[in-house]
Amino acid sequence: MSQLGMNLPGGAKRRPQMTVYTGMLFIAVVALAAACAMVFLAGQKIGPGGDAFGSHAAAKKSGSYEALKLGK
Amino acid sequence: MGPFGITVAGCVVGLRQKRIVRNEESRVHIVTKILVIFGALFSVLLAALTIAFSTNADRLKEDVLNSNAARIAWEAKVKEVEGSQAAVVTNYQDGMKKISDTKADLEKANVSLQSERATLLADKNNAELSAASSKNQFEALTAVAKTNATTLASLTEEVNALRTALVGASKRENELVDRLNDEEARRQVLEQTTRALREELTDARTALDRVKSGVTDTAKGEAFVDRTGPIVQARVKKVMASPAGDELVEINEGSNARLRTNQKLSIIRDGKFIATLVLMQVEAQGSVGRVDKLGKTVTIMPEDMVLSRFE
Repeated sequence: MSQLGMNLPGGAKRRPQMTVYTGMLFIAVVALAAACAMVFLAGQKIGPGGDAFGSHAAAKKSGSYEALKLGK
Repeated sequence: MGPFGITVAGCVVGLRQKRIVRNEESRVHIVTKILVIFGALFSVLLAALTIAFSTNADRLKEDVLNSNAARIAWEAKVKEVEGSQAAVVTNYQDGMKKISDTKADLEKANVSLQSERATLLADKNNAELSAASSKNQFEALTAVAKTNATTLASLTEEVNALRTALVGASKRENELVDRLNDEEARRQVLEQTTRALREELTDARTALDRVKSGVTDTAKGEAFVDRTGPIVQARVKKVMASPAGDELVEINEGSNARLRTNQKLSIIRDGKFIATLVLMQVEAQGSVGRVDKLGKTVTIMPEDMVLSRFE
């Protein structure tokens, strides 16, 4: 692009321009956002008390069985 | 490509842009920068969410397996409880049946006891009635006893009087018996006198007959055969020996059959003459005589016939 760069009179600086990589980044960010949203929703369903970031306690090797609390 | 791949791709793109910017005087659009930041943030966020999700999924799987195992254990326990419950129910039913049978038996016993009670009540009523009648009978018998006592007293008096009369009658009876004995003795004396007179009369007649037939006195002197009157037939009763050694015979006829002392009789057996018999002592209904065997060896036996004469 520098070969095709425009020589602007008065020696003004060139502004950065959005390239195809910007668009790809945009798509990637959108995909990441969608994935985060989907995983968050699924995590809410199986997380302890609806907490997508929380984790259940490990199951006891012996003793009585206690059911996990899923979702909100 | 997963989130991790997208994150890596985003970082690579960001680094390239940074290199381009460094190499070409850093001309990156502000939107691109913002998108890179957001991409990094979303990548981190996605990583965290993915880690949490994976952990929870694993825990959920364990939980599912544990719940299945627990369910299986509970089902086994339920079956065991059901089995024991079935046994308990069976025992309960058996117990109920036994109780029902016992109840039926008790009801039967109750019915029989009720009937027995009714019977006993009836018996009690009958006993009371019989007791009342017995009491009445006792009172009646008491009155009868009193009457009987009175009657007995009068009868006692009468008996005493009768005893007195009986004593008097006994005395009179004794007197009469004594008198009767005296009369009896007198009668016997008279009877003996009469017998003696009859014998004398018979002797006189015999003597007269003998005198008429030429026979002399028989009481003294030699033995004789009476050829007058009917033939006298007798039987030997007893054979005995005299102290002098003679053989004596007792026969069953005497003076009543007109036999006399020193009269000679013949002893016969089976129609044959055995020996002679000379009477030594003559009583009214029996005589004893001396046997003369005439030198023969014969034996005189009871029941041998004795004749006064043969003809």
